[in-house]
Amino acid sequence: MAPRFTKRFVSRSIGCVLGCAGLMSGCELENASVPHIISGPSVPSPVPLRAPYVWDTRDELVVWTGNLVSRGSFSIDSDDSNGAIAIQLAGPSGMLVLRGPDIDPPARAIRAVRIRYRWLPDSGRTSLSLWAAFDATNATPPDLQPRAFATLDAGGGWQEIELRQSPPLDVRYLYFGTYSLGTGVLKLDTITLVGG
Amino acid sequence: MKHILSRGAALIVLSLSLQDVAGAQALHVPPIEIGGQAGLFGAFADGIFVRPVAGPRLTFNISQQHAVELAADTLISDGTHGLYGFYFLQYKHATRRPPDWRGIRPFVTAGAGGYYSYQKIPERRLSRPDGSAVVFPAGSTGELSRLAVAAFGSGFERALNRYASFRLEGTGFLVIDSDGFLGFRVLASISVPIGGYRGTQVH
Repeated sequence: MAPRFTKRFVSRSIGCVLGCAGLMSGCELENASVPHIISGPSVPSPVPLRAPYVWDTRDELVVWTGNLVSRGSFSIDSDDSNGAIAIQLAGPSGMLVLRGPDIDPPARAIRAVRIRYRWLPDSGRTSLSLWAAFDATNATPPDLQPRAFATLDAGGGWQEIELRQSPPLDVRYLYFGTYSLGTGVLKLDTITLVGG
Repeated sequence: MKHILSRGAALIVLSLSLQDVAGAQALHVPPIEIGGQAGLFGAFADGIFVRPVAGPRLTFNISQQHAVELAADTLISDGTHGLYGFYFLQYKHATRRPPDWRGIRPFVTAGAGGYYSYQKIPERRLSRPDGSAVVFPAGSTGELSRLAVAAFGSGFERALNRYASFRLEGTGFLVIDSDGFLGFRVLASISVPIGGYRGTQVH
């Protein structure tokens, strides 16, 4: 062996090779910062609610339709209730965002939103897929807005359904949207946050 | 200035004469060589996939004929925000020591390897229906796989001078993974010996 290849060098080389082999058992690295959120427009609630987290009267429901965020064809219908949001759904070309007022302080431990509704499709008895997105202080991860889904049956009478999600959330506000391809009128008579 | 020029000329003459002396001697490699290599990488998986590669190599010469090498071949990017490639940890055996300094040294290699990736993720912005937006800051992600490649190859190298040698090699490899495939790499490289090559008299 040449003078430069001493025992020390050979042992170091073996150590280096073993070290490399150890490192090569595989690893993953990720360097990503926490996402941050740019808030959208706020929706103040000028009307005090008659019952906590229940929007039922005409004045209470107008806050949902008359704000900067809600998009869609809305009117307030008083034909067969004390006021209901009537939403004209125009099929895939239409868009629905129905955003509720800010809840300050947030509503604690909310498990669902209950709606009293009528779904009146233009033709047939096509059901409607509706979702509700919850903006919550305790969502995990924080950038997520958990969604709850429900299928609304067509029919002439008022029906109630809960859009449930889990775990309980401290809700700052919520908004509705739909994936429906059908056309028709959706009426929402009462919107209620359901806790614990 | 004249003094400096005359000294420089003397050094050049001396170095050339040393190379001539060394040319009559066998190449003596130092313990460590570093190199840079470039060539082509090919994979047979639903057709043939060929890409140019380039990367560094580190050679630990255990003796004059036996070495352990660590090499990384990075696929030349096609505009994506990342680096992708393979690493190889291989044993190299020089099959003969030529009697001449400038002679060709054939070698064979056998080893294992894996793949690695490094990707820069640009900032992303996700708009939500309520008018809010989620901003995902720029970041990076990387992966170094476990040993999942078996490789065998051969080639030759030749000293260019005391401080560099040229090397040409080809390797066939098998990726032993869930998406296993056969591949090859053909590389040309330059090696730089740490401390320089030396000539030793062959008896």
